[in-house]
Amino acid sequence: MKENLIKKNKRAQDHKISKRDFYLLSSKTGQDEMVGFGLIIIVMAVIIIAFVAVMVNNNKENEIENYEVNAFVQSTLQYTTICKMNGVYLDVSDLIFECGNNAKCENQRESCAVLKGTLEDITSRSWTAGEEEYVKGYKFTIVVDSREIIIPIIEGSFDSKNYRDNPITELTKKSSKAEIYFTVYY
Amino acid sequence: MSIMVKRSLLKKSGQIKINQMAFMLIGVTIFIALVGMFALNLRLSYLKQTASESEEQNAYLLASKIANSPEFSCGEAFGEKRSNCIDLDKVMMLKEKIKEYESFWGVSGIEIRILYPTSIREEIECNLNNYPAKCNLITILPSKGFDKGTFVALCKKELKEDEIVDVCRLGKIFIRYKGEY
Amino acid sequence: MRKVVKNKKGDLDIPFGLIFAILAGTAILVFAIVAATKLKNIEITAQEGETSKTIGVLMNPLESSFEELKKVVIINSKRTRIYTSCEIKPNDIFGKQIIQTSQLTYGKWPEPELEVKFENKYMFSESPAEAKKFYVFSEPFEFPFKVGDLIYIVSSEKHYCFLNTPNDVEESLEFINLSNFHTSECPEESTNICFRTTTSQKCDIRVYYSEGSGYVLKEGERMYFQGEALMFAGIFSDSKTYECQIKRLINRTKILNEIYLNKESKMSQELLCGASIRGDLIVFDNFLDQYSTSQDLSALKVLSDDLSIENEYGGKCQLW
Repeated sequence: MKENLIKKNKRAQDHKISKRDFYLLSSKTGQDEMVGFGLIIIVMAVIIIAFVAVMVNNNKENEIENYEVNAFVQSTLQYTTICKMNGVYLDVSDLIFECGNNAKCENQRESCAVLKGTLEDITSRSWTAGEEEYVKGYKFTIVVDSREIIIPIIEGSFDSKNYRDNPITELTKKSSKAEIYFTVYY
Repeated sequence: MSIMVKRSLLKKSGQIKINQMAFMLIGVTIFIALVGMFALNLRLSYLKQTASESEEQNAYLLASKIANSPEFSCGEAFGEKRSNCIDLDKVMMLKEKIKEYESFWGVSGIEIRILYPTSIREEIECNLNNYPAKCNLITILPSKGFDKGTFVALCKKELKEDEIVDVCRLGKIFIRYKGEY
Repeated sequence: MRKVVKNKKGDLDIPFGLIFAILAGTAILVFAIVAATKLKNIEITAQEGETSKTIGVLMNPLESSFEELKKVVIINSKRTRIYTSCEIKPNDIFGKQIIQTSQLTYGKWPEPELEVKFENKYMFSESPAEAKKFYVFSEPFEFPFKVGDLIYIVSSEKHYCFLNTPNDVEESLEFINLSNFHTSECPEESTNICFRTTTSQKCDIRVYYSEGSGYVLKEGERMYFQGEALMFAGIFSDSKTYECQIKRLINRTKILNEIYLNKESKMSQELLCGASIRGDLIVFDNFLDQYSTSQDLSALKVLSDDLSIENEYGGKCQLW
């Protein structure tokens, strides 16, 4: 019987060990398994918690939406300028066409000069552009009857491939057609 | 090995097995609980994100919608119909009645800033005596939170050289929404 | 004796570990099934809430300052029922628009649990409107200044046949241009909307229309209207919702009227504008206070028209 017991116990053994050592090992097998299982659980838990922490951490970048650029252009066109003609203070949209005709305001100022000055002030107040700013640069161009009526208003740099622009804004007055382009780079 | 040692080992083998089983079950339960928590966290996080995005999208569209709503918009008061145009006089009167509008638009805050022209550097709140030339901030609904804004024209009828003139400035309307539950 | 003892080792030879495993395993399984069921219900409710909120958000582009009709299409992945209703409590000035949704899940329609409420929307639809695709269009309500945009939700699967329509209504229908709105060659299962009192055809809804005003007769109830926007509201909703929404609109009209009254005061002081419109605004305010049902709209309409003319002739002192 003793021999049978020994044979049975040596079934899975590749090398010879003493019976005493074998009994010692056998009595600790369950503990080894438990420790191993516990380690697996701990490792899985750490991985899951790390994953959860990453998932929960939402860091959204601030993005300029197209609508904001479009709203800027639409609002700017309604701005009332200091240029008065026929007793009426012109807004930017009317001033664009007067500039296209090289007209002069009642105070003898050139309409194009007033237009450029106003747009420069408005864009610089509304968009802070620079290398260290979120907005890297912007460009404001106005074309009347296929002619650029003022030198484009430019600020900052245009290296970035990320930009937002307004859908082409077209204005018509009598037989003239104006196109306004505004692009923000970020 | 002596029979006594064998017997004592045999006596304890059942206890060892129970212990093994118990620890295994505890381990499995903890594992299932962790997986469940992870899945629930994901789902809740997605729901929170969806709710947040929904509110954010709402705020973007709302900023534009508010500028065009009857309480704010210029309508035809300044000539032809205008979009993105806020009637400053109406808005100042709305401020007086704002208690009734507290939850009307579903946002926690609305404010309007006068961007141009303004020579004022610090923030000055507008009231019925100093608007719009001597102030640059109109707080409709005060609150804290994230800001989503859209550019608007701020128009008002003014007396210039004994003539009533429509004067439009450039401003921005900010919506403050909750952002997180 | 030894043999007896040997044969009676124990009644049940089940190891303790096995019993423990069975009990613990059963407990874990039961817990998992209960948790899964609860999570499923939470998921369905979350989806309903998400859909209702999304519908509300999608309505925002419909509300703008332009008079023209606007429309959008809502397409859901699952068959959906949209329930719209109205709530107005005694101390609640603006009332609430309530939207609930239910989506076909495992062949069943779960009862909508979540209510999404908006104070600034006015929606009209069959309750419920059911489809995968919905057409939504809006019309501004002016009385005499713009008060809000009325939003109409229509199932793409339900056909409407407009019979003997007046010219202005026909123009609006052409502008709306929905595939399930017909003025001729109507499908058999259409809901017939008849505009003339005498017609031999079967009429589900009758509209008594004269120069932009009248009433809609639906399921034996009369819904009085002034203007096309309210007419469509009556056609696409029920009497209870219609009256509730009109009450909400009138309340908002009153607040807006007070805002214009104050604006007029300020402008009179600053710009030396004439004060003739002021008296009419005050009278209008009093009549709005007394509003009760849609039958009162005709009296209000008279005052509204007067105000509209006065404002138009205000010139540089126009209020709206």
